Amino acid sequence: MIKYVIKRVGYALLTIFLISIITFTLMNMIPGGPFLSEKAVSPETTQALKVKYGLDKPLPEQYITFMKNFIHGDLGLSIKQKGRTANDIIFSTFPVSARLAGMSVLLALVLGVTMGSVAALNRGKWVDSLLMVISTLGIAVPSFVVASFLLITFGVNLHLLPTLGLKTPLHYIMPVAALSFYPTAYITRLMRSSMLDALNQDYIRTAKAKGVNKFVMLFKHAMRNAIIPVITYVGPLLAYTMTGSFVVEKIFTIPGLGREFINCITGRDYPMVMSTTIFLAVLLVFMNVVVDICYKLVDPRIKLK
Amino acid sequence: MRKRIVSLLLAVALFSSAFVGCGGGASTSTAEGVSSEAAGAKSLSVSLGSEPLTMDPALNQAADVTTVMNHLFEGLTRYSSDKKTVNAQAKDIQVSSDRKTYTITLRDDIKWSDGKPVTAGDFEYAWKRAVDPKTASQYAYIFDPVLNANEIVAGKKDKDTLGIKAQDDKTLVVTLRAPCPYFNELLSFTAYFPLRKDVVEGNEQWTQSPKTYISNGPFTMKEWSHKESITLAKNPNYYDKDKIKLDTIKFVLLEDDSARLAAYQNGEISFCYAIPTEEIPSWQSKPDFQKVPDLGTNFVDFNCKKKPFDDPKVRKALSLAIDRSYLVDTVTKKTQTAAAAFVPVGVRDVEPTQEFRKAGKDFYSVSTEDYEKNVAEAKKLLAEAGYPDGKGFPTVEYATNPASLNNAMAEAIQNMWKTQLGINCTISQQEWSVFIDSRNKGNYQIARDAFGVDFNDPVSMLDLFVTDGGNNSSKYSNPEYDKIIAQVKSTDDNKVRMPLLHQAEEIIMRDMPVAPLTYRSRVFLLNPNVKGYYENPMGFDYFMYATVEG
Repeated sequence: MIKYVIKRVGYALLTIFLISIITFTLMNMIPGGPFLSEKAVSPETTQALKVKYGLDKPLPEQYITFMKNFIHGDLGLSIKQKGRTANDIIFSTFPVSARLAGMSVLLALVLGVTMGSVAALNRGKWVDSLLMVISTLGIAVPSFVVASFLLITFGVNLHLLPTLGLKTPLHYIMPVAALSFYPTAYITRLMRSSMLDALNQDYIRTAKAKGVNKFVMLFKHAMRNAIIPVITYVGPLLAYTMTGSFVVEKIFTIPGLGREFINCITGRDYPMVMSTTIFLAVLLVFMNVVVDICYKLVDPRIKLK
Repeated sequence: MRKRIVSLLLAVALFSSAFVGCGGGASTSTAEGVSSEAAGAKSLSVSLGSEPLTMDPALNQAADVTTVMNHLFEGLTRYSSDKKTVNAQAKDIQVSSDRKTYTITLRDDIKWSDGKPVTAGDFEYAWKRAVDPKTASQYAYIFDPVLNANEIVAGKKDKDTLGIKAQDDKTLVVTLRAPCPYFNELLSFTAYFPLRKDVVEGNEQWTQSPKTYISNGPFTMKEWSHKESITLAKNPNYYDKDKIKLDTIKFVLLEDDSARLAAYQNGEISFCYAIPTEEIPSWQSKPDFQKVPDLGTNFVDFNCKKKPFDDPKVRKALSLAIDRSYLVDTVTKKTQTAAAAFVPVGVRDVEPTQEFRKAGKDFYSVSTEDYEKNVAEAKKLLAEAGYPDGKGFPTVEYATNPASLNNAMAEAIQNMWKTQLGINCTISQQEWSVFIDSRNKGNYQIARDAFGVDFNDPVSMLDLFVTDGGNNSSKYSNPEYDKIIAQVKSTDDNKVRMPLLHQAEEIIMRDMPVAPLTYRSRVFLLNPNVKGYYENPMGFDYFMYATVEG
C-alpha cells in the first residue's frame, strides 16, 4: 500500500510537471498578449509593463522563476487584476465554486443513482421510458439554457427566487439545479446500463432463485458492481464542475473560480493561466486517487497496485 | 457488507460537505468604523459591468470604472449636469497670455477621507507617478499636453521634469508644451486625480482595502466584494457634503446582459447600464429607456497597405455599397445612428454648444431611398479601379471578434458586397486578443474597428489617421493630412482649429481608409423614481447628486 501511494504521488508530480510545461509553451505560442487593448498602447508603455511583470526575460527563465515561486506557494501577481495575487484570487473563489460543485455533484449522484436503478428495474415500462426522456433532455440541453430558463421563470416571472449571488440557501437553488442537470442525466443513463448488466449476472439470478428480498438484492448485491462506472465518472466530474462552471457563475453573478479560469485565458493573464491550470491538474490527479481508493472500498476484489 | 456501502456514501457526503463548510463567500473587505445600514439610510443600487481590473485612478482604462472613481475622487475640475466642466478642487484657474502656463489655486476646505487636507503636492505626486514608466500606465498618453510628459513616458527624461510644480500647499503651476483648448476637461480625468504619497507609495495593494483606499471625492469606499459589488458611503469630509443626499451607492457587478436585466426587473438595481439587443424593442416605449450619444464611431478598416485596398476607389466603392440604414434598423434595433462621416454626433465645434456634425456635412446619403444611387456610384468606382461588376476582384477576408452584434454586422455587410458588387468576402472570426494583435500589426484585409473620444474634441477622433499613429490600424499615410493635424495641435484657438479639423475629415472621407458604419450611442434603463442623475459627454454616469423618490 505504501509503495502504491509513493508510486501514485510520483506519477502525479510528473503529470503536473508535464502539464505546467505544456501550458507554459502553448500559452506563449498563441498570438496576443496581456497588454493589448482596443486603444493601442505605445511601445514604450508596453515595454515598461513587460519589465514590471518580468515578461522581458527569456522564456525558460520566466518558466523557472514561476516554478520556483510556485514550489514556495507563491503563484505570482495577476497582470490583469491589478494589485491582486493569484493566490488571493484562487483561494477566495475556490471555496465558492467547491461548495456549489459539491452540492451539485451530490444532488446529481443521489438523483442519478436512484433514477438509473429505478429505470433498470422497470426496464421497458413507462417509468423507464419517462426517465430516459428526461435524461436525454438533460444531456441535450446545455447548462446556459437551463440557467437562463430558470432565471427567467423563477427569478423574473414568478419572482420566487433571488437571482444574484449566493447570500442565503435560497440563492443556491437555481445555480445548483442548473449545474446538476447534465451530470444527473448522465449518471442516470450510466447507472441504468450498468445496473442492467449487473442484474443479468448469474449471481443475481441465483439470489433471485433463492428468494432474496428485492431491495436487498438491488442495493446489496447489484449496486456494488453497478456503481463502479459512476465512481469513475464522479471524480473528474467534481474537479471539472469546480473549475468549469463559467456560464452558470456568469448568469447568476457568482464569484467563483470558473470565471477566473476562462477570463484569464482570454485576457492572456499569464500567471493566472499557469496557476489555474496547475490547480485544476492537481485537483484532477487528487480526484483520481480518491476514485481508486473508492474502488477498493466498493469492490474488495480490486487490488491497488 | 452493508456497512461498507453506507461508509462509502458517508465518505462522499463528507467529502462534499467539507467543501460546503469551507470559506465564507468571496473575499470581502470592509472599512472599520462604518456602521452597517443605519435606520432610514438612503441608498441606491446600480449596475456596473464586470469586476474593475483596477481601482487605481492612474491605471484605469474602463469607462464604467471611471464612473465609480468619479464618485470616490475629485479632480481640479469636474463635469456638472449641464455637461460643462466647473472648478472642483480648484478655487481658481489662471491661464497665462501665451496659453501655456496654468496657475491653479486650490480650495481651502478640501480634505481627504481621513481628514487630512488635500495639498498641491498631492496633485504633483499623482501626475508624476502616472507618467513614470515604472507605473506603466496604459493611459499615460492622456498627459500629452503637459510639458515633457511624452518624453518621460518614453523613458527619455526624468519624471521630475514634468511641467507641474506645487509652489506652496495651495498653489499649482502647470506648464504645457503647446496651448490646449480642452485642458480644463482633462483636469477632471481619473489620471489627473490627486493621490497621497504616504498611502500609495510602497503598497501595491492600497486599492484593495477600504482602509487604505483614501480618496477626496463625495464618497468613500465602504466595501469591495470581488466579483459581486462595490459599496460607497458618503464622505463626511467632503466640502460640498450638504448637496449629497444619498448615504450609500452600491455598484453591483453584473457581467451578463440577461442577468443584469433580470436584476433590474426584480428591483435589485435602479440603473441597468446595457441590455441585450433583442430586448430593446420591448423597452423602447417605457419611461425607463434612455438612449444618449456615446461620442464614438463604429467603422471598418481597409488595410491601405494591401492590395486591392491600396486603391482609394476600391475602398470608396466598398464603403458606398454598405446600406447603413439597414444595419441601424435591423441589426442594431435602432440603438445606433447611421454614420455619413467619421466624427460622431455630440462632439463639439467652435463653441461647446455647437456640434461638429451640424457644422460639417454628410459625405454620402444614408437614407434607404438613396441606397441604389450609392450602389450605382460604387459600381462605377469599382469599374474604374479595374474590376467591372466585381470581375477579377480577389476573395477578401473580413476579420472580427465574435460578439453577437459584430457577427450580425459582418454577415450583413458580406451579403451587401456580394449581391450589389459581386465581391466575395469571407468572415474570419478571431478570439479578441488574437484579433486586436493582428489588427494592430496590419495582418488583415478588412477589420471591424471602433473608436471613442478621450475628451470632447474632434481631434481625439481625427488624430487616429496620422502616419504611424498607435491606433492607425488602416495604415493610412498622407503627409498633407499629417500637416493639418500638426497645425491643429499647435493652437488652442477653436476658430482656427475647427475649420482645419473639418478639412481633415474631408480628406479622410475622400480617401476612405475606413468605412464609417454607425455613430455609437448608449442604451440604458433608469428607474423613473431616481431623480438628479446625469451623464457627461464621454458617457460617465453621475449618481452622486441623485435622490430616490417613493
